[in-house]
Order: sequence, then structure tokens, then C-alpha cells
Amino acid sequence: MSPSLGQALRIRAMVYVAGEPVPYFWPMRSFIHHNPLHGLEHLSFAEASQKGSELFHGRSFLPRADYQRYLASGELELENLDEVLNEYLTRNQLERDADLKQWLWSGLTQNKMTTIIPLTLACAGDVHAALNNHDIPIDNSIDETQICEFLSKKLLQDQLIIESLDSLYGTDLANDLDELVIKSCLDFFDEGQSIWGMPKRENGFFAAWREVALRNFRLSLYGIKINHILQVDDSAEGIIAHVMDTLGIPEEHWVAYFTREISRLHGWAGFIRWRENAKEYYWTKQFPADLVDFVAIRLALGLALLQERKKGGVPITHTAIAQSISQKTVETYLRYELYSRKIVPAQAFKVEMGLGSGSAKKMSKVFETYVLEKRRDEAVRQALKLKQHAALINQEDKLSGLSVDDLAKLIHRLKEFERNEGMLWLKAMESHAMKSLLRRVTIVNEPLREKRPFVQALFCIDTRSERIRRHLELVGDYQTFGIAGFFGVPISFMELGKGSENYLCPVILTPKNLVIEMSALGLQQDEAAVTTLEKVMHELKESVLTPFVTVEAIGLLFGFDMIGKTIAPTIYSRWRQQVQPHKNRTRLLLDKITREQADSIIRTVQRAVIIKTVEEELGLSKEMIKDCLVGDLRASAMGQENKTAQIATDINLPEEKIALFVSRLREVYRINPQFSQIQLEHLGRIGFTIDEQANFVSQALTAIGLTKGFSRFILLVGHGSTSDNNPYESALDCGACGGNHGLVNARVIAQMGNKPEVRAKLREQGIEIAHDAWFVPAIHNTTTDEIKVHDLDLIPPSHLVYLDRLRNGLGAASRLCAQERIPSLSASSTLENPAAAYEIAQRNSMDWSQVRPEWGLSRNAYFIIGRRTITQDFSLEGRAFLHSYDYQIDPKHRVLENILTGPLVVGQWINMEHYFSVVDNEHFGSSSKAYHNVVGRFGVMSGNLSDLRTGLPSQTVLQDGLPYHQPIRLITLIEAPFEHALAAVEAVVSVKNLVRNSWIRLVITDPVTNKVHIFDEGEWRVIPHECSIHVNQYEELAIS
Amino acid sequence: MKNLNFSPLKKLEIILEGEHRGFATDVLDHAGVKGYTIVNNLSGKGSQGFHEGHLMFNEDDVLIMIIAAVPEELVNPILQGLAPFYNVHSGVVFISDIQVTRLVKF
Repeated sequence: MSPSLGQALRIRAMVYVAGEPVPYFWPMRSFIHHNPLHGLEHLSFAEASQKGSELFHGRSFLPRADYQRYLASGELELENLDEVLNEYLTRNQLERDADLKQWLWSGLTQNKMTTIIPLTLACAGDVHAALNNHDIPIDNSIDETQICEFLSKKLLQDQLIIESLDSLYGTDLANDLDELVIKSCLDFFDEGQSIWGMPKRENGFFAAWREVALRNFRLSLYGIKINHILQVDDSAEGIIAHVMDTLGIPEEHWVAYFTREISRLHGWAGFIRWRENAKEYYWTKQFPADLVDFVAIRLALGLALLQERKKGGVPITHTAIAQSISQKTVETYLRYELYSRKIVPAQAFKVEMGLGSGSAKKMSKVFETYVLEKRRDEAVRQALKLKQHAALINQEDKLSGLSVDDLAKLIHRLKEFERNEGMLWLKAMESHAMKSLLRRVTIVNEPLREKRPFVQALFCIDTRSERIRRHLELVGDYQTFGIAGFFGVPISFMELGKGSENYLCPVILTPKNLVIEMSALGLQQDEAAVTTLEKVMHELKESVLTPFVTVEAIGLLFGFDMIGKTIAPTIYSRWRQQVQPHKNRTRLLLDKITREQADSIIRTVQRAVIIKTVEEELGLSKEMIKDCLVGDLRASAMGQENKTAQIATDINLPEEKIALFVSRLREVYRINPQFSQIQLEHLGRIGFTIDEQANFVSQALTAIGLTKGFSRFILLVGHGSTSDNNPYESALDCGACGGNHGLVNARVIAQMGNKPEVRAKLREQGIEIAHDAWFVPAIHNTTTDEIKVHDLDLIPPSHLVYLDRLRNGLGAASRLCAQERIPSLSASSTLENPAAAYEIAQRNSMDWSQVRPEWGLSRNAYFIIGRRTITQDFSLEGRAFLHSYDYQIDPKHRVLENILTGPLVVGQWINMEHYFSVVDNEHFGSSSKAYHNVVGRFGVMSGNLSDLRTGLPSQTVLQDGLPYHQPIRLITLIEAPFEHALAAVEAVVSVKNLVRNSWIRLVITDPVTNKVHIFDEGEWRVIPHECSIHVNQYEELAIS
Repeated sequence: MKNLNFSPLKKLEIILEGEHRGFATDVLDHAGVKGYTIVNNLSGKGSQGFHEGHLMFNEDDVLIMIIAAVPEELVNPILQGLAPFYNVHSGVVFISDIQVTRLVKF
């Protein structure tokens, strides 16, 4: 029975809400760093990390041993730890309990493992007995209702029906279900990787899958019957309603149930969520799919698997399981224990035998013994751990002497503490990082320059820019600035030769303007775009017969490639590049086309369509189709004049036929005024008006505080990376450009800034750009540290003499930067000279076996918004996002708001992605690259078949198995008067919430009052800014 | 001049956070509503406090209103379809009686 429209819409809404905690997964061709707990950002970080842990079965903090290692290596000091521990005790009104503090302190600093184990049956009294070497009191018998509640929670509330079945019968159905769903996803979502596609995908995910499933021989081989389920309804909502009703799950639990179903495969679910929202994505338009389809498929397959197991009284519905719990409590409990991997080992055999016998009496007996044994076991283990812990602080006697109540209190407090321990370590590390930064940040007034710098260079805020900026400033008179890598101008880019648009801006924006790349040599006939050899190899790779033919025929050529790349990557790659054709010089079209030009384009398109249609439908040959005929037809279709009679006589056809034809032109071929209007709007998207161009340039320059004293060269340096055989290569590119390299944006804004009309407008706004100042786009390759300058053919002749000095400076900076960076990547810890380091960097970019071409954004920790002078004289070791900002030219703090709402949010995403990938690389990250297989051209999975892997691979965040990236929240420093900065933060809702919920740590350094303001635990603390900050001083002032 | 025929319809004004625009339009599309109008960048006050409309960078953090004219029989299903959403998100729906002249477009 089909659900009503209202019911169907309700189910859709429930699935939507259920899917919200799962973050989007962008196709890896433009990898986006994203907070894995983005869907939980409305909660505080502490709450969200707890919830996220449950939802995604991952750890939100490192294990204690890793933090102790940080303590040993100095990234965290004892005084930081002491501080946060005192805070914790005070907050829980336990500051006077000196004994407790000793317990906690020794636990943190000396104990490698935690002390409290989960006590499911034992109570404090039992532990007390065990501590004093007595046996547990047998009169405290276990209440059956307690066990019923426990089982209800575990089996009915916390798990899916299929997971509960696994818990009770030791089956592996949940994983089987996952595999079946993954296979269906692989078939449907493929984006051209496989040659045979799933049929009828245009009908949508569920519809196409249902067609296949009804005829799926493979499923019936496994004994899974699904037809009777699928025949109930042909809509996804109908199937969902049917399965949920059959399973008997009460409606108020549906949303939570859906969430659990969805988060089992959060990679695929995240991809589907992103895909259904990206309405302009090519594959979405071709083959639509949404989360409702996904849930329907999971539920249908799940029910089929469950029903297959139904024989012999196995409960497969919510009601049946509830009945088992209440009526066969003993058996259910024993089953749960047996398959939970937490059974008391000595009892396992007896329990198994008891269950196998089937006799209720035997099971009762086993149950009684088991329960007692389990209590004893838990109590003894807990007592032992407590004793070991007590030994560290010489409190064993005191421990044994505690009363039952006091012991219960101690256990409870230790338990609470260990639950919150991760946050304490995190805050201690952040406190250390903050202090270390504040100690070095200086507030000096910018010295007046007598002459302008040789070059002013704008880099992306990316942490990797910090290194090269420092070295560039060292080698010559270079002044550097930091700005978001897309230079504030979001564009939709159509590359030469490609038919689709690429968005070059942060993913939170949708660009409104289209920029087209054209060949500088003008329109030419299609030159051989690829060499013959490449063409042959390319086509052969796609054919079905290839595997049978290639090895014999082409194998040698592929082998040549493989050997070359493996034995001598650098030399071979350079040779290969020479053989491949170069891309011609190109220009970017970024001015608006005029109304006349647009009209003319539309007219041309319409005329072409008319000619084609006349040929096909009226059967006239090309010679018969005269220009005036086309014009008349067009005028009639557009409703301007009715020339049907004249046309009919001209070409000798009945007037009715012509009238019909004209209305066909109007309706089917859309040659009508309304559609022309839409086409005009589309064409109107091309380019920017002069006003817009001036605005973007002005915004960019104001954002970084550069409004006068322009140098001869103003370099706009975008960044990108190069690596081979790396599905994550887009992750190393510029996040601000949507996972692409930043050269196009640099070229766009350079072209805008060099336009005389734009400069005239800027002059009106008060930004006077010198006549000989020239904007030059460049790209910084973060793998090799090379900075390449582009559009040199546009540079005015007067500047050419200085190019040499510029190139030398850039080259020197590159090599020095590589020298600093490479030791952390290569085996040898020191290198003799910069040139050697540079060579290694080059090789990294071409070596197809290199799993770590560069560290990327790992070890990011700070986001600094302010003038370069505050960070100029010390090294931030490539750990800081640096955005230039001058509060003095931003009286209404609008610029600061823009920086917060865009670049800072992107920085937070990057920071959180790294954080979770390092604390639990298996669940939040994507584990080792070595096991990755590319899926459908948009993602990777581990091994043969697994969920789509999200997050960063282990090679990016771990080194030799230990954390390389330091997991702390982004420490954001704003250099501006306090009220000014605070007003900006309050004005941007998203950032205000990030600060309030502690997703970032905000620090404001006030250059006017010389005070430092830190936001912590919901309030602002003030400390005067000094070069070194002592602990007691900090505490004293914090309390005052 | 042709005579104007007035037909009664119901107007739904759906106010919600801009980031969920896709969801709301999806509900309307699935209900078979032929068209709707979207009003952007609203500000307003609700039980959660005051929402400031903020343009510039982030297009999502605004309140929007979707106006749709629907035949009476679609009102209940659409509201049922929005109920689970409004259980956890802020916003409101207003239903009013209106009249239109070109019934074929709705």
C-alpha cells in the first residue's frame, strides 16, 4: 500500500534531518578539507566531540600515552597541565580535595593507562571487598529488571535491528549489508571509470537499483529473497515505510534509526548528500540520487537479510526483540555476553554449552553462576588497577582503609575525570601554544620607508606561504602580504578546450561571473591536441578488449613508461614533458560583452538552429535555405511579425504546415522571447563590469592594508602543488580556490589591476596606484617551492630590465625554503646546500611512488590576522595562516568581517580535518594510502571493498605511526583594538558561534592599550602584553 | 478584453535558514508544486533571538522566505512534510487564502 503524499513527504524530511550530522564529501578531484563534525557545530566542541565519537565510533582525543609524549618533548609543560587541572577541580568544587588532586595528577603524568574500567554488574561494595581481599558479598543479588533495562538500551536503543541480531547470534549481517550497499553504490555512482554502466540510471538511484535487484541472480545465489519486499511499492518512501512498519519500530525513533543507518557508511552518505545538493554537478543532472534512495536500499536489503534468518524463533523485529528481553531475559543476556567479546573468559565454554542445550533450567543455572563470576571478575580487576594507581602515590593503605561510600565517591570522581581527560590535555597544549606565540608577537609601529620596496608580493594565507615569505623577505627588499588564495574574486572558470565550468573560490560561495580562457593565437583549426602515440594509448585504455590485446601489443610501451618513472623519475619526467605539446599562450576574457554582442551571439545561435531544423523537418536542401527565409522564420517565431503566408508562397508549402513549424520552433526549439532572455542572462554572466573589477581590486588591496606606496612589481602569488599518482593531489592545492591551484585567480586580478579604466576608478576611491606599478601573476609550487611568474608578455618594456633581479630573488628564496623544509621529509636530517634540497623537492613532485610529496598543511596551529610587522622577526615554522590586515584603514570593521567570514572559516575546516584525522586516523581519517583504490573517479576506498574513505591519509598526519600534526584547535589572533575586533566577530554569525562553542581559540591583541584578551570557557580574560608571561602572573590577573 | 476569472488558492510562506533552501524546494517539487518565489536576506526575531541578515561572503547564513501558491489539497501534505524539519530547526510557515487569475500556472 503506497504511502500518502503527506506521509511520503514526512519520510523525506525525516531522512533529511537524520542525515544532517554526516558531513559532505566532495569529489576528490577538488578535495575540500572539512570539519568531520560540521553537522554538530551547533554544539560546543566538548559536547560535539562526545556525540561525534558515538556516531562515528571514533576517538576524539589522542590516547593518554601520546599526550604524555608531548609532555616529554616539550610541546606541553607541567605548568600548563597544572593550570587546567586546577581549573577542572575548581569548576567541580573539588579544589580542596588534595588527595584527589594527587590521584589525578599521578594518573595524568605517570600512569600510561586509565584506571577505571566499566562496571556493568559490580558495585562499589564489591570493589571494596576485593580491595580487602574478601570475597564479594553474595547477598547482593542482581535484579532482573536491571538486566532488562541494560539489554533494552543496548539492543533496542543503541543499535540497528541487524546489529542487535549480530550481538545475539554472532552473525556478521551488518557487515554483509554494508557490502551489498557499497556494491550498489559503486555501480550507480561511477563517473566514467568503468566501461559498462548500470542501466537506466537516469531514472534515479532507487529506481535503477530496484530494476536490477528484481532480476539479480547473484542475490538469490546467496539465498536472499528481495522481490516480495520490492513489489510492495516502487517508490523509495514506500519501501521505507513498509520496512520500518515490518520491523515494528515506533515512529518517534525513526529519525534516530535513520541516522544510525546513514552513519554506518558515512563516506558514501556524505557523498550522496553533497551530490544531491550540487544541482549544477554534471552527474547529478544525468543520474539523480538522494539520501532517501540510499536509506530505502539499505532498509530493503537489511530486511531481506533479516528475513533469511527468521527460522527457529530468531527475533527480527523490534517487538520480537523486546519480547525476548522481557520473557527470555536469562537467555538473551547470556547470548549478548557471549558475542560481545566482553564475556568472562573462564565462563565462555559453560555459557556456550548452556545456550546450546536449549533448556531453560540449565540456562538459569549457568546464568546464576555467570553473573556472580562477572561481578567478581569486574571487582577484582578494578581493585587491582586502583591498587596500582595508589602505589604511585603511596596511598595503598589509605585506599584499603576507605569506607564503601568514600570508595564509591573516589571511583565516581576518577571516572568523571577520565571521561573529560581529553579536553584537559587539549586545553593544556593550547595554553602552551598560545603563550609561546604571545611571547614572540611584537607590537611595533611600522617604520616609515624612505623608498618603496623592490617588490610587493601577495601570498595565500596557506601555512606553507609563511616559509617562503620569510625567506623572500631575507633575500632582498621584498614586502609580503597574506590574502585568501583566490584574491577575493570568486570566478567560474571555463578552461581552454574544456566544456564545463570550474568554480575557483571557497566552497561556501557560488561565483556569479564566468571567465573564459581563449588561445592567444586566435581561433584556429583543431590542431593535433595530442601526439599520435598518446591518442592511441588513451583510446586503447578505454576499450573492453584492451586487457586481451594490450599486454602483447602495447605492453612494451607501458612498461617503458613504468620503468622510466621508477628508475629515474626526474630525468624521465623532464623528457616526457618535452615530448608532450605545450599549451599555447592564452588570454582570459573577463570584460563584459556588450548588449549588442550578446544579441548578436543569440541571433547567430538561433539562425543556426533554424537552418538545421528546416533541413531536417521541412526537407529543404542547403541551397534552398536563403538568408531572408531564415530571417522571416525567426521573426515569426519570436512573435515580432507574422510572415507565415509569405514563407508559404516562397517555398511552396501549405500555410498550415508553416504555422505548425513556426510553433514548433517556438515551443520545442525554444526560439522565443522568454528563452532568449534566459540566454541573455547566461551570457551576461561572462566577465565583470569595470565597476565590479575596481571593487574587487579595491577590496583586495584594502583587506591587506596596501593602499599607497606601490612597488614597481606587485606579485600576486597563487599556489598549487604537483605530485604523481596521488588521489589526494587536490588536497595539497589551494582550498580557497576550491581545491584548485590559484594561478587563474592571480591572472584575473592582475589583469583587472593593470587596466587603466580600473585604476582611474581606484583613484577616485583614494587608492593611487603609481603609473609604473605593474601587477604580475605568479604561482608558488608548494612541492618544489618554485615560484613561476606568468603573463610576462604583458609586462611593459620598461620593467624588463628588472626581471633578472626578480627571478634571482625568487630562485634564491625557493632554494632556501626547500632547504628548511626538506629535512622533515627525507631520511637525512641535514643537507649540505640548498641546491641538494631543491633537487629532492623536484623529485618528490615527479615520483609516482612517493606517498608523501609534501607535508601540506600538517602542523597548522595559528591563524593570525594583522600586520606583517607583528610576526616578521620570528619563525612560525610553517604553522600559521597569515592574513594581512590593517585596522587603521578599516574604521567600520567591514574588511575584518570579510576576513572572518571567509578565510577564517576555511582555516577552521582545515584545522579540524587535520585534528580528527590525527586523533583517530582509522575512523576519521582514511588510513594508509598504500591500500587505497580509486572509486568511480571521485573517491577512494581501502582494500577490496569498503566505505568511501573520508579525511586525510595517515601519511599526511602521522610520521612513523606517531602524530606529526599536533591536534589543537585553531588559535586565532586578531591584531586590532578590542572593541573593534569584538564587534566584527559578533557581526558574523558563523564565527560568533565558532568562538562561543570553542571550535577556535580566539585571542585579541590590542595595539592601542597593549593588552591581550583571551576568550576561554565563555568569558574574556585580560592580560597585559609582555615579552614573557609567567604562570602566577597569568593566574592572578585571570582571577581579577 | 477577456474576463478575469479568479480562482482561490492557498499561499504558503515558508521562512527558514538559507542553508536549507534545497530541502524546502525539494519538498515543494515532490509535492508537485509548479513554481515558487524565493525572497533572500531576511532578518528577524524568533525564539532563538535576533537573526541578522549577512550577505558578502557566506550566502548560507541568512534567513529566506519561499512563497508558493498551492491548491488546498496540497497544504496538509506539505505541512506534514515540513514538520520533522521544524522539530529541530528554526522558522515558521504561514498559510493564507489568496486568489489568482491564471490557474493554469499553479
